[in-house]
Amino acid sequence: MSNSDQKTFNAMSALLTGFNEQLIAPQVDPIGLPKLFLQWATDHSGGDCANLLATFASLQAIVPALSTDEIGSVIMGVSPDPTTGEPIDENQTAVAQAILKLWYLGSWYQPFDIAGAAKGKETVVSDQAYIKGLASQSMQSHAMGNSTLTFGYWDKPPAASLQVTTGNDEVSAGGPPDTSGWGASA
Amino acid sequence: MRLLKLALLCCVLIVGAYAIYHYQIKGKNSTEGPLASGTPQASAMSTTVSCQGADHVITNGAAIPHLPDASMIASEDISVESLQCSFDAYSWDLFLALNHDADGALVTGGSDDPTVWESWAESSYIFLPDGATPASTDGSFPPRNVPAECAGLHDGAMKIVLQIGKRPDVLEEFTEPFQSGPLIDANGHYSRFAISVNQSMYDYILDNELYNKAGQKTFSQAGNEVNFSCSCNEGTDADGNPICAQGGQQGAVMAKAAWKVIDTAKNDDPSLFHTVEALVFTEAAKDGSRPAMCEKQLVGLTGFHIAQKTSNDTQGLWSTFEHADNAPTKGQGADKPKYNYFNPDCADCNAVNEPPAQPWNPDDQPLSDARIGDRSQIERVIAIHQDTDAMNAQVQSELLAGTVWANYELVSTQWPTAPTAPNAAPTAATNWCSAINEVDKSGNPAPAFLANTTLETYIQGTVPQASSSCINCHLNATMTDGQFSDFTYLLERARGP
Repeated sequence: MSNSDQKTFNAMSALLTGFNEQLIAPQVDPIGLPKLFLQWATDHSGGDCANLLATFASLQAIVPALSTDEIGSVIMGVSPDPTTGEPIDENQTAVAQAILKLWYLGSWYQPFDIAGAAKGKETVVSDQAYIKGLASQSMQSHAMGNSTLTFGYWDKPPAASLQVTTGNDEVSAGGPPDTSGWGASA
Repeated sequence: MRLLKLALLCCVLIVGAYAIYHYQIKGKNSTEGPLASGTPQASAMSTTVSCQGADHVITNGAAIPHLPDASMIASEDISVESLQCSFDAYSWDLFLALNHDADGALVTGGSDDPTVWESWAESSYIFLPDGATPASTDGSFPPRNVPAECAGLHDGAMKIVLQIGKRPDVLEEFTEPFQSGPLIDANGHYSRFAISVNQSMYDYILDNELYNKAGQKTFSQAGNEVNFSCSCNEGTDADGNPICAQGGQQGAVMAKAAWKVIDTAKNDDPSLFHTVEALVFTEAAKDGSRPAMCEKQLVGLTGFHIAQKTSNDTQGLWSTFEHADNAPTKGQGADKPKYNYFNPDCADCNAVNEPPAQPWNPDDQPLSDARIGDRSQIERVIAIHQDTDAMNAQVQSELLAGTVWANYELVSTQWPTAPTAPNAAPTAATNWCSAINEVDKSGNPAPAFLANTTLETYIQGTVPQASSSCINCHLNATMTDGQFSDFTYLLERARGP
């Protein structure tokens, strides 16, 4: 994969997941999930992952710039591609959805039939993909069987807001932690 | 609400860039390099190691470095690999400072003197029977509880254990490789282990009465969490706020050592080891089948962990060293005629990296030649990185030639890549530690796995939650009341009511 592809993939992953790009693809990264995920998606989608990246790059290049919501709507097939007036290929949308699930769950859900893998086949991509799934991080929990939380964490309110766990101040759910104890925050 | 949004935006901006920010700050504050605080080193020798395109100065000095220095790495070159070089250079600085003569002389040829860390308090000084209070300190440590079986072997009074100089000491732990079994060397002797803490860590335990169970309970019930102090260099942040105590601060440091009996009858060469004449104590069997025993023996250092909390690395920096002749690396062949924990010419040896079969009787040693299969047969599972290997070779040849320390090598340094929370600036109230990353308290360490063949012998590998990772393992450490103990298992040793 080229550096350009990787950068595009990282930016698209940030948009799809709602996480800050620096959190999911940090410069100092001892795990290397972005590279693994791009390789995996490329190997299991025919040419549709490359096509999706090209689509995303073209949407990013539009002037004046589209908002992340607008780009997301096109990628997810909700809105037409403003450069063509047509929805993007449905396989590209299926790959985007598979990449989104890959980040959150650490598993690849085969989006359509390819040689050697039928649609719907689920594969845990790696132990670290499972451990580092964003679903766990979003709720300040941990993947079953692996925890980097300290003993007795379950007895305390979550330490950080969803904005902190995702690095994204635009997330609307969660809010700052209720430091007074259990319960909804303001 | 506007203020809240602004605060959140600040958080996000800091989170977004905090890995880079974290290391740039380090460099910015390390204006004089890793030895910015401490004794001037007029006679220090140094060598410059080129690693991942940056030059790192490693100094044979007496001052314990407070922080790694990454200022020589250009911001666009910051990566796990380039930062690893900085942490490894820091580890060597730390190793050299801790192993210089406690009387002040630097590591030089011709002698093997007691070291700085050997003058620190060992765990048995601190966690006394019935939870008794260790004596307060005036820069030295109180007498330990020397087992009766050892008392008669001292040359003179008990106070000899306080002396900085060649002295007998007591080594009593023999199941350190994670309670999974003893480490029995190639000559059939059980290896021994000891954990020491520096003055800062000792004082914190004493001041907060964490040396017994009742004190720990009281501490927790008052709403406190254990937070040992962090090492830092004097400086200010961008807003002019101090980021460390005036003059810098030496924070908590732990040293863990593995020792083997030097058996000259079996061709062990003491000149290849840092050695100590020690009283080696073996507890009585719980079933009463054998009494406690104590022997005076010459032991050599084979493994050495150092863990230091720094203001930016709240999880600690974990440096691990070994004797170069401990074990071959898996898949690379055994190219030495003799290893400390591997027999290269043995058809009936124990399975590689499996604990010896029970029963384990440390009073029945050395094992007879017929019991060749009851010894540990150890290989290193994860090879030392080529950058670290090159750094080792340069330090050994340029700074340590002619000393016993030239026979020791850095395995690696584990460090947290995302250690702190947003807005985590250290203050005096936090013992100059930055607030920990609450989302991932491990700080996502690099390398992900790290093991010393003498200390994590049987849990080497790369299986999450099973193989050795210093930070991830110590993240589970608690006091006797189940509360987090700040990355040390020592506090579990507290006794008393």
